[in-house]
Amino acid sequence: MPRVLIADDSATARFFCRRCLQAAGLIEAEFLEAADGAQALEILRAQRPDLLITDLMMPVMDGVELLRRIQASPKLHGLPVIVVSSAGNAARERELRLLGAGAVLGKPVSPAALAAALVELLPGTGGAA
Amino acid sequence: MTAPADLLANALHHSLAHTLENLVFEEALRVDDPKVYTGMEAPHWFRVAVSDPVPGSIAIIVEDGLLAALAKQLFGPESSNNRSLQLDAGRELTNTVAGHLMAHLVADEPFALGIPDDGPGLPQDSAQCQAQLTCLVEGRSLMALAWGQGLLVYASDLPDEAPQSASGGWQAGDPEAWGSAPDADPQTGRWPAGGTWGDDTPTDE
Repeated sequence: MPRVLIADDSATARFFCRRCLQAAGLIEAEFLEAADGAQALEILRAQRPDLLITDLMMPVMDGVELLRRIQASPKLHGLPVIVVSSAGNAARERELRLLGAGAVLGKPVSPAALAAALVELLPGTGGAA
Repeated sequence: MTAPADLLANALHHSLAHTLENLVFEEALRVDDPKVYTGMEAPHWFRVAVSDPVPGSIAIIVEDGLLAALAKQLFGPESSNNRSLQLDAGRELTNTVAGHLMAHLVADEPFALGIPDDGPGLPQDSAQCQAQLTCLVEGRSLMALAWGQGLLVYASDLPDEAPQSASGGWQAGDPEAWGSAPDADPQTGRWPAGGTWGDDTPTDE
């Protein structure tokens, strides 16, 4: 069963993302949640999920710093990451992919967009949308 | 030629309509009645600051009944008495609208948004906003405001007034209105990397 961490300071965004992931076919998954980047990093170190979905603008530690820490960590490097953000466009996507994001999606995210990302980043899961 | 303030208001409506449609499956019927605020029951504002490439902010003012209805649409009936969830939904709605608007205004430049804030009534400087619009969502009032001279400059590059629908009113989320900057591809969620900016329909890029 894949383990997915969703990091976003908005409970609404986390809920909506989880619902979209389930609609995208990730029905049997364990969902973990974090309200900021620091919390996400703690969970990542303790539980090493299969996938991280993260917002960019978060208190305490933002998504960009979180990506940097993951990239710099021997244990976490290579973790599949999807950035879901309202602050994204093509220019930002280039920067985020260089920081290790496997996919960069705009808000509101859709099951179809997540399904397409899951096919690439978590083969064998999702893709049902 | 449409004034920049009107172009900005049009863009704001497009972003609001797109967000409401995709987040809560609701339409935002534009009415543009400046007196709508006085008829609002217990209005609450939500605001997101823009810091780059130009300073500004975007706010949405929602009456409590509509906020509760939108939260219920998202979370289900258990949100009816959960004020914290309702306010969170309002902040996230505003955050998403602001991001969608900025992605349209600045196209291929990076932009930065702040963390949403909120409070009762109207924002203090609402009279100084550069663009304003009012909508009905489920028959209830919603206002959207935008501040920032820089946003007006970007808005002046947007296409002129969109064609009206057959009913004579604005079509919520009308994709034909926006030819200058794309939404993320609804299938892949990605923005086109360059080349021709089309409308909101998916491309093969």
